[in-house]
Amino acid sequence: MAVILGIAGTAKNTGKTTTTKAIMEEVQRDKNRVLGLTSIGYDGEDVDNITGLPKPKIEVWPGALVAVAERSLEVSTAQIELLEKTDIATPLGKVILGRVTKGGTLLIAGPNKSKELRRVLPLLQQYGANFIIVDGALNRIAPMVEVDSLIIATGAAKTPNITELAWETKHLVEILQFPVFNTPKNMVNMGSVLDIQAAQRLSAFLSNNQGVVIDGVISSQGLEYLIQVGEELKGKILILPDAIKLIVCGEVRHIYNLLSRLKELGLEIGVKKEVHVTALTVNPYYPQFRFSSNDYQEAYVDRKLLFQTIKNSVNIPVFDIVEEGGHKLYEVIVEKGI
Amino acid sequence: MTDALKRVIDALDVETFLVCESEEEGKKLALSMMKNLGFKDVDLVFIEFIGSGARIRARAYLHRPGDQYGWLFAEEVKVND
Amino acid sequence: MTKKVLLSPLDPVHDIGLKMIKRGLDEAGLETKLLPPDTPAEEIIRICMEGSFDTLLLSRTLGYGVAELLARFVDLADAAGLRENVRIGIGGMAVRPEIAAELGFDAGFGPGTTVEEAVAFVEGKEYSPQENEIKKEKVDISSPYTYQYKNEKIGNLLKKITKQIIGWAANKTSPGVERAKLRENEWDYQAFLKKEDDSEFYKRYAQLCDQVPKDFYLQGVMHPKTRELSKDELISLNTYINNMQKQMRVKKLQHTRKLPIVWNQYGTGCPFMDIAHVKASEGWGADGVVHFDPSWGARTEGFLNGNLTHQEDGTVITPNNLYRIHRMLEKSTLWQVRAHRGLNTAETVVLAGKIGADLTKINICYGSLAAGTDPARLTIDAFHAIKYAAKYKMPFDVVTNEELTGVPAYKAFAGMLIVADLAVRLGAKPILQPLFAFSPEVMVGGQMDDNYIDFNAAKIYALRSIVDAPIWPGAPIGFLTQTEDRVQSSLSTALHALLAASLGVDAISIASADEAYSGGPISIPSKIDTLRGVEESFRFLGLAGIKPTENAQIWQEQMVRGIEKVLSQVAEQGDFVQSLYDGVLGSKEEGAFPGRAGYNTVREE
Repeated sequence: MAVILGIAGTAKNTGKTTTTKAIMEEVQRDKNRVLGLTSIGYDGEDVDNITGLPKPKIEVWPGALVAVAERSLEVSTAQIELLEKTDIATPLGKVILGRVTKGGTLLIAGPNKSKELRRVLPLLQQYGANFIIVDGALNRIAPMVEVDSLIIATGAAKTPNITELAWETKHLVEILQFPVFNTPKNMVNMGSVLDIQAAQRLSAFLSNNQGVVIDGVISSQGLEYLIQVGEELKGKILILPDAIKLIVCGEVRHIYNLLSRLKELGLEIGVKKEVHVTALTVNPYYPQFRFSSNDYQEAYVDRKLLFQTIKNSVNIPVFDIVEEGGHKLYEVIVEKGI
Repeated sequence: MTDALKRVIDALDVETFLVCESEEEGKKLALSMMKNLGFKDVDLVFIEFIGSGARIRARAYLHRPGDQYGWLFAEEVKVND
Repeated sequence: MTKKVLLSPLDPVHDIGLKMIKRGLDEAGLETKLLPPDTPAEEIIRICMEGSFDTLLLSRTLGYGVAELLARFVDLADAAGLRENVRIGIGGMAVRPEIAAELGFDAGFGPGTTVEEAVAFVEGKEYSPQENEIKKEKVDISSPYTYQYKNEKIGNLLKKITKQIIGWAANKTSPGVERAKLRENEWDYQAFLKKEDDSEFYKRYAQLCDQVPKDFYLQGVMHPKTRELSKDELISLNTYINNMQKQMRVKKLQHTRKLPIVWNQYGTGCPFMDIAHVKASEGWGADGVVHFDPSWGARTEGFLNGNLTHQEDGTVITPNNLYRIHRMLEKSTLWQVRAHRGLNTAETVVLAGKIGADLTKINICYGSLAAGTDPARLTIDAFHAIKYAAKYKMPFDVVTNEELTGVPAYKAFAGMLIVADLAVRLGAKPILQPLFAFSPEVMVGGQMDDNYIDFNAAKIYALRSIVDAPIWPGAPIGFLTQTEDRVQSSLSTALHALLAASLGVDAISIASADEAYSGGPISIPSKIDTLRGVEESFRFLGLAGIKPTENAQIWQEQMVRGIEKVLSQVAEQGDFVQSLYDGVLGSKEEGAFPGRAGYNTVREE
């Protein structure tokens, strides 16, 4: 069975591309694997689109399968045989499925939303890919609900304050590991809770029923409203489609605090579908913004301290890819990933 | 920095037209040209690509405000004819 | 079903762009709703979902930390399920497709986004820039004009003068006229394209040439200032052109006006460099390009042949060079091959006509008084050139450059009107070309001491009061006002263009920003400088206008009286060619000297 691996970052420059490259190298060595590569953003450029600093380049080899926007091929040196042109439109043209015929650099820009990724992943498998990597974009994570296994790249680029980063990472992982609930009977369904009116409806549903299934997201404002309602939540159940729906609603620490308060109040919060966070990678690099010249320069925090601190704060494997390469990470992925 | 460049009050602009296939390529060429010319603090002020190439204005800062200005201390420049 | 579009500026202030897009979408019949700036992300997403919008357009200027903010918006929208049915576009400064892709949007719109682009996105059509490329078409500026005289007295004088010229020319010829005849009758462009053997033609042709072309044809001696382009160079050029033409697009400069069309000249000496110049001119908005040949071409009987490059003040006219340049012009670009002033005037028109030029350039007075060609010779050659121009349906401008030597405008105009009248009688379409220049006449007379507007305006008013004919100030406008400084030079050109537009003339020729520099060939960046300047001046002016002072009126009247006086003298003398020799249309005191090239080559048939 195919591995469908997503690589998400907590911020720009946390080492997504480095992680992607490291895993790709391992996939290339593993003769049983055919790579399928796509991206929910735009990756592989020489210099970062936003900071203007140099970036690692992604290189593909013959036989690998890709799902990329047409125009990303114009700036790639790899040669791609067209297998299928989809009607999925991106800012860089339609997404195409292709097979690498001559190795070289590849700019990967692909389907950038869940709905499209959902269509592209089976296509890559149909053409024979059995190890699919979905490269992330910036701090975006929402489309990663479509992958089976998630690697999160974090590091000093999120915040150079290591203690703060450790807390943040711990909370992020804990939210993503929210328990899966089997939906009990007599639950009420409702759409995304984005404003006070919806939060009021939600609280009324909770008062009168066993629990509520939200088919979408609940905003931090909605969570805050529930906290005000207080005691009546005791023993009630709130179910979301997956934990990513909780992450996207605000700053991780804020969301975590709200969720903790709700738990204390007795509300049971769970998800329908689990997000498998397989591992974390950490990166001491961060682009430092210089206000004097309105640009960025490279900077680093203490590599060992960062690694140890993060490792101690989470219950999943942590890797420093630049230091140790991708081999151990790959083993973890393959082992966990079916 | 050569003596003559120390006398550049702040920045040196290079205005030219580069034959290239896209604005992206034009940008890269312009910046690499400035680096090849030996400048470190370089940027592209303006680029307009149409058809055959790009009209560019590339810039190298020799002295940003707050730097120690070469021209404050510059000795007489020896000009080689 | 009408598409519903929700527009939301994320920027606290910069919502102008989105308002403009909204106006365009409304005009295109789409249903739109614009949210106030700074609406929270959750609110935007809720409104979008509850209102069943099809498209969400956001605007935000990118800056420090903004990318993460936009990415978070996209994530929230995705997780909330909005993106299952709604497409999201982002617009703003610094937004490029690559960034839009990274941030997760369906489309990104940078500065300069057109409403068509936004509509195409909203309607889910594939936006291809080609479709929305500016459609430029060639304009025949002579077509709306009747050439009727409004000043009857001048009309009658001109009739008398040109009747005399036609009579004089009836039984005369020259080597230039004979070469033109040979080229017209014995040289076939299609045969040239098929590379058929033309040695017989050139054997006969050589007999009508000066020594240099004769040596070239009969003994294979190259002109000392030329070299033949190599096969490798020609092949590489074709590749270069093919690659470039695929992505070629053109600007339109006139903003809300149709006129004036804008001309650039080229003539670097090398047809390859010319092509590079022409492509830059076209890209940056020139409507037409003028082929400049080297000055020695005007003083040498006969053309050379082949792919010749040269390193002086113009590009050698050969069938190959003209063909090569012509085939890489955009379809919308007007092409003028100037024939005026020299010993090859008539043949240039024939060659230009056969190869496909849109316009040519013919005159008599400037060429014979200030450009070195014998008056009688140029009169007979121009006479035939005009007839060929009529045959090949090429309008041509009649210049008044003798002003630059010191001939007053009214005299130069008298000469120009004579040639124009002759042209109309021979079935051709002349275009009047007064100078917009800081001429010796005004330097001495002080007409431009206060401003550059009044005297130039007076010229246009004077010509308009005389005849209903197209006017194309040149060449280039603002001549002698420009210095070596590119900002000054570009601005001066742009302001003269502004005046020309305000006066409603049909065309202008503009210089490059290094017009006043004489140390080497003009550069492409300098060419682009003035095109951008002119574009901006037209944008600035729109349909508004410039108001000259009452001096314009006074000088107009003086000019018309002066023209009448000169034409009366020429008519009275009853011999146009003799009037040129005698200085009636520009005297030695005014810096005009009858030319010597081709002296004594006119013979009776």
